[in-house]
Amino acid sequence: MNALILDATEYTPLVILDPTNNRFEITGESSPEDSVQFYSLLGKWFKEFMDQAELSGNSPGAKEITLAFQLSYITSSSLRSIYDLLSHVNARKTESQLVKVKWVHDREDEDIANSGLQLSRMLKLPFEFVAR
Amino acid sequence: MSGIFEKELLIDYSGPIDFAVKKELVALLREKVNLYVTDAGTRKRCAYIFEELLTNPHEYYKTKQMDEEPIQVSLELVNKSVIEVCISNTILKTDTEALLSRIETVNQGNEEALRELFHQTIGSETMSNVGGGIGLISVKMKNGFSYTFEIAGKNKTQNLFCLTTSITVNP
Repeated sequence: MNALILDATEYTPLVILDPTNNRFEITGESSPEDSVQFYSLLGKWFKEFMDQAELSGNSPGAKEITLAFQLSYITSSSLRSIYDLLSHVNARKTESQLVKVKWVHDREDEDIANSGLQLSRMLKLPFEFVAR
Repeated sequence: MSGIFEKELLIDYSGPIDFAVKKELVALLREKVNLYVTDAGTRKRCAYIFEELLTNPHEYYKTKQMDEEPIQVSLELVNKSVIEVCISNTILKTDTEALLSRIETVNQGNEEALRELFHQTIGSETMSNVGGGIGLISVKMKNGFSYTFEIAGKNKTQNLFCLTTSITVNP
């Protein structure tokens, strides 16, 4: 499966979804003009990724992948789109194909930490929180 | 005993709103706030709150295909500690009651109620089509200040809606 790599812009984060190198990261600012459109690209990629894994009967090594968010600024519409993305990804999890979420935030940044906490609660999905 | 309020006008804008204008206004606020606030978290929170408040009329106009309608934005720094924000926009008379009802719900909610409302709204399949969506809920959760509003009739089918709130910059 090809990697999806989107360069960061002034209002959108760097996205690296690279199964070959086991890197799944979303980093930077998230305040795009159309967050639905932006995050639907990631949603489509994950759907294809999980479809392929199922078809091949080969859960990507029967291992879990960790999707790491390190966002410095998130608008509410972005948060909604991230919720939708994780909601769909989480719904596809199986015993052999698991996506975990790592939520990285600045130690002083309560707002970003709280955004992750809200998402985790709404999704009923434990996040790994990393304060740096 | 009269209070003395030192007020400084930070932003006074009247005109159309689109993504570029919104970002320019937020950048302007960041510039102004940086003169008074050293804490990075507070600076970012001010920008976030203002952006969410601007997004409300922006998204409303997009949804209703009212892109030619203007907004009026006024931000004043009071006693170097609080920014008073007032944003006015056109709203259809048919949408007014629903919007006011949503704002009252947000105003009355305590922390737990707002969190629950936020969860319900973010998880709902349809976005609010009258405004007062997750942005306004999020602002109240971060800010603590209730919204005040005024309505004035504009024409047969439209009202002018003015929303006011405050942002703490130096507690």
